[in-house]
Amino acid sequence: MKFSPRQLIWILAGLLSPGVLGNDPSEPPGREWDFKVDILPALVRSGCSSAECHGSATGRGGFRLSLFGSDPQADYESIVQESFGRRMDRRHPELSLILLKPTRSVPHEGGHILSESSPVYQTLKQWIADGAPWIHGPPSQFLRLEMIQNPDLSLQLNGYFQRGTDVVQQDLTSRAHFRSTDESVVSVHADHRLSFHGPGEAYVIGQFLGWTHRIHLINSHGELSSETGTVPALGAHESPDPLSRIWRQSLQDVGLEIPQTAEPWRVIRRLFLSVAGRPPWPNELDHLDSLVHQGQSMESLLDEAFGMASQSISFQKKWGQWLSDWLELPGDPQDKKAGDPALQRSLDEVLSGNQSMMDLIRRIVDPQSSRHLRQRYADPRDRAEFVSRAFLGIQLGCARCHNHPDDRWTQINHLRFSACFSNAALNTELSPIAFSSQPQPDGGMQEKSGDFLYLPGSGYAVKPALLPLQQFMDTESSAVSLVDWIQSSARSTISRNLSNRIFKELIGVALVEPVDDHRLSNPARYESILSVLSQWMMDGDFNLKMIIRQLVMSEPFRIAALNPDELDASRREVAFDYIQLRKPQLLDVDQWVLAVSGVLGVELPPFEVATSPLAHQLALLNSSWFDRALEVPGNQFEVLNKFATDVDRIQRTQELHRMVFSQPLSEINARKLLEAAIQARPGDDIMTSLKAVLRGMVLSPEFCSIR
Amino acid sequence: MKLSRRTSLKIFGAIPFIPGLVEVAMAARATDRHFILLWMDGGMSHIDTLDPKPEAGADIRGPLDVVRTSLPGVMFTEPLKDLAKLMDRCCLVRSLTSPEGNHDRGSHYMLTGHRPSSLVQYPSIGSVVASQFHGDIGLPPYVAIPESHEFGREGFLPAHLGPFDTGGDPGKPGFRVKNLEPHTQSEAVLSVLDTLRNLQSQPLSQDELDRGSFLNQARLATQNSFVRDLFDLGQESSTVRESYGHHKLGQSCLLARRLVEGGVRVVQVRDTGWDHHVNINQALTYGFPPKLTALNQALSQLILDLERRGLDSKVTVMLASEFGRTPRLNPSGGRDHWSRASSALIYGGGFRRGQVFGETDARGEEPVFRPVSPADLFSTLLASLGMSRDERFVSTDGRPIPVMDPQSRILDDLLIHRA
Repeated sequence: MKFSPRQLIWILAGLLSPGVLGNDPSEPPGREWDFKVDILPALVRSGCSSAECHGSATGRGGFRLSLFGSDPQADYESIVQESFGRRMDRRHPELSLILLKPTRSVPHEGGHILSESSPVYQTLKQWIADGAPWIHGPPSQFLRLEMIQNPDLSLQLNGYFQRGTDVVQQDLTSRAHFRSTDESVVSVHADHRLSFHGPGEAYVIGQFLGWTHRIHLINSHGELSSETGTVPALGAHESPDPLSRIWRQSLQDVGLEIPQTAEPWRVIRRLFLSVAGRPPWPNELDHLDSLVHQGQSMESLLDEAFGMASQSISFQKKWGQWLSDWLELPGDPQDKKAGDPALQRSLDEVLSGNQSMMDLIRRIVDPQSSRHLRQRYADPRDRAEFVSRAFLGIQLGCARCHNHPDDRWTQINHLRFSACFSNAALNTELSPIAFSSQPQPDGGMQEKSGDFLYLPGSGYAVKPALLPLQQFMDTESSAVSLVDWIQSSARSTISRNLSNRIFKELIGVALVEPVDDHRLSNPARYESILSVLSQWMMDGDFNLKMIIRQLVMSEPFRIAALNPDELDASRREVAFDYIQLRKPQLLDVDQWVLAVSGVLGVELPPFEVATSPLAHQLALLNSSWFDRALEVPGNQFEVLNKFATDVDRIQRTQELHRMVFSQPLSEINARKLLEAAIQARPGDDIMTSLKAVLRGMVLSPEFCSIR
Repeated sequence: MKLSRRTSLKIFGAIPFIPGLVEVAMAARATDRHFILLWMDGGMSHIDTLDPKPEAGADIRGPLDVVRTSLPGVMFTEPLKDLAKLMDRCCLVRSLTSPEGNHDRGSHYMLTGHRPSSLVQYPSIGSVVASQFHGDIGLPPYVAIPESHEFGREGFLPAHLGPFDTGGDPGKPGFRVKNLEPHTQSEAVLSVLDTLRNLQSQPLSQDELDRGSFLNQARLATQNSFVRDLFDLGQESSTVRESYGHHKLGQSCLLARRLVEGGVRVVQVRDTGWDHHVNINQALTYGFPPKLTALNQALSQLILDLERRGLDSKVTVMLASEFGRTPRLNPSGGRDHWSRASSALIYGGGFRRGQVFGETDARGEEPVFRPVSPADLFSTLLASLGMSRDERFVSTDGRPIPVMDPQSRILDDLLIHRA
């Protein structure tokens, strides 16, 4: 017997109807279901939709899920409807492929994921038995999350949903993902129980799809001894700034003593390297030495050192480069011909402290003031991503391709914010009525000219909307210019982002890493410090020099300059480990040449630029550049050996060490250094050996890094 | 005293205490596959080289004559006559097609196998291969002559997988890789550095450790005469040097052969100046030497030399470019960017011999048979070098990144062992 195609469709439809598959429509599901809330998170949490598994671009074993559940509708279709529904057996739920595979009752390349007794398995089974509905009951609207730490150290994550007129609380713990921001302080077990380890503070973050809740936990190191039961009082002459006070308070909270600060010479060296990108020059060290002999306090000394460092050309160069990198300005910032001259002038004003960084940002965002944004990026989406990462500290780029369930910003957020930077939007207030709501004839292709952005697949022009930075802020309904928005709504966000970036430049490690990821799920290492810095930034009207000064004068900076070798007492080591703020930053070639130039006190010939790291090390080791540097008339090495002939070779080695590392060297160690050079080449005269010593010093990690 | 490669390995293998060298000392696990990329920077015209269209109008075929290759029915342009005689040993892909017609984007796609992304800095094929096969001690696993293309670098992979740029012009008399000869004081300086390291004994950051390992590599390279000699073209007889041609491309190819023979896993030979928007005929056939003459001599000699030395099964050579050029000559007698069709010539390694894969239309505008994307070619090359489709790297932010584009195909028909 033959069937026509139409007949075949009817037969197949009949065979696949819910009644045949076991779901009797007359039997309503036993409970309310919402696939997005009840099922999808369980799959995400079990790892089924990760990139390594079915969430990869091509899926696995013929079964594809969206990455981390970013497309619930597609996932529902994959699970329930694809392949004629073969993954579901509604009459015998336990025989469904979706359960047989992860329990490895049938071969599963991904291994054993679920046990039959697990809550996730039971939920899935019940959902299938109830007919695997997309939704049953009133739709759920998420309201908020709440994380509770129970007395037995177990965590519970509750979600509150609006269902109809009711607010329903659901225990989401088994479907949520938990993590600690510092496993050395506290970790979360698979059974959602906390384990405390070392002293410190950490956040435990609970995530349920795109929503996040976090709790702040402090694990005290224990009671301080009676002698140090309170934060040590400061001397009468010391008046710590709020940053130091908060720092001390946080140490007290975790039961740690105030660690010692670094030796003055080390703090000063670090200050110069951080502020001016070079070590202090011998004449500057002599001046500061004289202040020490006059009995000046550490604060006065640092103040003087900051004054010298920030007035130097090196400061302009270092921070000019920093600003250029941050703003993605083309070319050499000192080259007035490169880029936008008005912008360069503005940048100079910021460096001299006469203009705030907010003015600079406003200038860049305002199309009337600067063409930088349009010159740098032709595509409005690139402009939006630049503004979000550089100014707001927001990683918006991920949402360009697809929604990420762990990310706050959606693809539509991205598109609508990008539309604010289209050429059409740049000349108008961001009111939706300025844009056509008619479909465009090209069927929704995104136009390259940047005049408009169109919603992919629909052909409708995207309504521009600013990012809702604060919860419940409705920016769509109000017409506000981009510049006004930057200066008002985005002010605190920018302040936080800038403070974090400057902190990283000075200390070596950011409080929030990556620097452009200020999500709730990525808290600052020391939130209180970032808050203080951020407030200072706003109070000081975004003055770059002011914020740098505040930071380098603070106690955390002096502690961060410590060398671990200087620590002896075990409790102090714990305090130092707790800080973990230092990270050496390698000097680039220009900075290194400048530093060597400072040591030798003369201007040096340019160093050949190598394009690969091995070629660079070969040049450092074998090129004749250093020989030529030591031939520049009047250099400090020449002066030392010409006029200090009465000083013996060991003393000259000690003097070289002071010139290079800004610190004294013991006679024993000076002898070791010199002997190392002499033993390697016994036939060399003393001058040649001293040259080798100097060359070795400027190639050492201590000299080649800001430590 | 000259050290043989074997002796060098024995001597320097006994210093595992040098930080960062333990991994390198595990070189023995590496397979013996090598890769030489001849990168014609700027966009080599497929019509004027490997895919001539003699039947097309003069505005397309250009003034160059064609020559029959050793493979029946396949022709090259006349200046590539020596290479044409070797076609039966090569594999020619004539249906490369890419959507990227901009130099940067096109190069990125060809060299990394992935289209550019603002979120991921993909590693180049050289670094990917280098990550699998460690170089010998003191010997960089990946060398670029004279310097790498911007997108021929390590991307998000560790810095030591990036190329070592030789710099200079190997075609010039007295060419030496800069700073490879030890400075008279380098021993004393290194001794002082060691002493300082003991005195200062501070924990080092990852960047500092990387820098230290490069310094160690520089130290070993300069101390090891075997490594220095590898980079010394003066070690070759004048006959051999003459056969490759006394020009930049020829001597670069000779240096590449020396390096792979000595243990370097990947060599990128970058020849610039192929962006011929104006008077392409003159640009390709005039000069000292003309571009095509140099290419013909260098590549054909490289193939013959590798074969003579029994390296043909170990070394894969690929001639490629970021895109082809417009089939129709522009009013200035040049050809502009054309990414919809280009060619790549592959020799040796795991690739089948005497095969033409794909075909463009009569005007060389579009592939009409078996189109190949740069990602397909990239994946096929990696497969020929022993990598599997499932291999992944972890980016700096912890994301698993597939080495091969998941949408790409491995062209089994091109490979000996998979066909």
